[in-house]
Amino acid sequence: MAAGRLIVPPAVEPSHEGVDPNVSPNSSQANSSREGEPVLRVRNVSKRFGAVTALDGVSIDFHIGETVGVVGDNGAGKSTLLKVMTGVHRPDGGSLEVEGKEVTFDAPGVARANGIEAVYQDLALVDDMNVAENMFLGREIRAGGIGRTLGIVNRKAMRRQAADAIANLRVPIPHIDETLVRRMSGGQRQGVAIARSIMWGRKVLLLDEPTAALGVKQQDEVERMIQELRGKSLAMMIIAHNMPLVFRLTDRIIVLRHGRVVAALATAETSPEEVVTYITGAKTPVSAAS
Amino acid sequence: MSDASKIGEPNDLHAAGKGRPDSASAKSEPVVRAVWAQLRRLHLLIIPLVCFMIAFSLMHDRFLTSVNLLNVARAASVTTIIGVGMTFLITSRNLDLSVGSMLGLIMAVAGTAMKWYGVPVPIAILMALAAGALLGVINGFVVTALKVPALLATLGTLVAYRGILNQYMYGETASRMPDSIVFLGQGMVGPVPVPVIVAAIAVVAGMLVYRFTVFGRYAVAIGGNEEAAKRAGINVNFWKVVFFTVQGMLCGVAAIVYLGQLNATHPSIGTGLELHIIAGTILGGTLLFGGYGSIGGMALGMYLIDVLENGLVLAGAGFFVQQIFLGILLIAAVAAQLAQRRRRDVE
Repeated sequence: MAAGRLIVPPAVEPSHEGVDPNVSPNSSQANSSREGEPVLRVRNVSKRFGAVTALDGVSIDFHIGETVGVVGDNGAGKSTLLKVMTGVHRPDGGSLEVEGKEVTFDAPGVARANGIEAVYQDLALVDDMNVAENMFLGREIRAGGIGRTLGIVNRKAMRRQAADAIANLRVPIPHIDETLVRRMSGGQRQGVAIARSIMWGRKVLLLDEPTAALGVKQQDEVERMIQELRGKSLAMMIIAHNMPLVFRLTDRIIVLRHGRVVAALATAETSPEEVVTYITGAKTPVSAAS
Repeated sequence: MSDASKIGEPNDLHAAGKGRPDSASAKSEPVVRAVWAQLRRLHLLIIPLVCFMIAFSLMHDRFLTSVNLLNVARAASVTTIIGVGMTFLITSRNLDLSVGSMLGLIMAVAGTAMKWYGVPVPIAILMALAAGALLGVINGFVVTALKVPALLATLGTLVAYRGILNQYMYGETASRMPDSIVFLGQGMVGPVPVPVIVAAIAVVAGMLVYRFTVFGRYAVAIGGNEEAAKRAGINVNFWKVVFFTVQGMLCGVAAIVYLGQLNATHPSIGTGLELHIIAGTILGGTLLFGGYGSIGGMALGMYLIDVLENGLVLAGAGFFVQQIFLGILLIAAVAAQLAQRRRRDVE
């Protein structure tokens, strides 16, 4: 078993090297931009629900051009982390920093205004709307002049931009004009949700179980889309259970257990077996160090 | 890609004009399919409408005359105006049971203002709209701030608004409205009754609003997936209050028309009307579970109900028989929707 390099958080030191998505990052050579400043920094974040501690001092740095996998057993705190990062939950302790500036995500809109977009497991699509309407939901392009005041939407412009975004991601949707999202396959729907997030997410893209509940062929399709996004100028976080997928798609793997980061591993230097030992608790940071 | 950069907000990270779908060749097909989808939803309604009309015309030769058909449209105009608001509410997965009480209360307010206190007609019309807006805001407040489900919230205001109406009128009536009000209810422009014109304007405006404005789109989004709408940053509660408010104001419009039609107001007016309006809306294809509404279908649904009533009257059946038919229609429409939904889920 290849011994992964253990990084005890928050020891991910930002380096001063330029972006190179092809180099697997590790502790001394973190992929970074803007003089090594992480685009998003989760710092010592804690979240409690009554007596339950969902997150306990979690710190993760996200760098442009880097894809971070977050794994862990059910209840390890993955979803809570996602919700803190998108402003659905406010952390009880710790902070979030976007490009070095501390921000308070007290509403979903704030995270989005900071260029952070999430694709939720349930995709958050309105089945009764078409692709363009979904992609611009809540951020519709309005018509000009008095039409703006009347709340008239510019359907043509939205449709055109949505079609571009879909085409750029190569989501296999034949004609997107009036087809309701309801009529689409799981892979197409996932594609719409991802395309929406990329269209708006300028800095950080958070993907929650992007291929769960999909058929094999559609999984491949979605994986291809994510693979194409890697190395583009944005940071990605992928929450997934599927270990081979995590190894194919990420540069770093963060293992959560009981709300704590128990391991931060460079994907190229670890193995699925080792990650699983951290997930199950068979190996702990202490036992690894000793 | 100048469009994307002009708008500025959407990320043009991967923007390059490549791969734009060939919209010229793909355009006609979706339109045809959209029309077909509309028809498929409406067939539920067109078939019984045609059947009833044939049956009634065989039973009574006075039924299928333009005068009678326009009379039916006149009778359906008040319910159609209110149905526009109901379509948006049901599309957003809400419901308003208090429309009948609102209609009666607003008619009392506007009618007595003109007859008892000599308020000029334009002011009385504004009062009707304002009263409708206020009653609608109260409904919206109960649903969003007090978090009472719309069904029960408006069941409560149905009773409460009727109570206010009875307390205020105390069994009295106001009649003989000013000529301009009577014109709105009974006048003709050429061969077309004025209330039909008012209803047609409401329907056409409603169709445009449904399709081309955020008001209509957010009704679909909230009714289709409220959680997704919230995550998209839509202020769901604000829009719900707006939907209820618009419903109230449309009740105000309908109140003025009905005041003219009846040339009087009475505290019992509008009792039981909510069922009629919900039945017509559901018959028109608007999904009781939200996410889809059809204003045009609603207008057809209202017309169908009045065709039925008119035909039954001509056939010599009484009011109670009409009630039986209305109840059956409502159940049939909901059952058909449920069956359609099961089929869709299986798909």
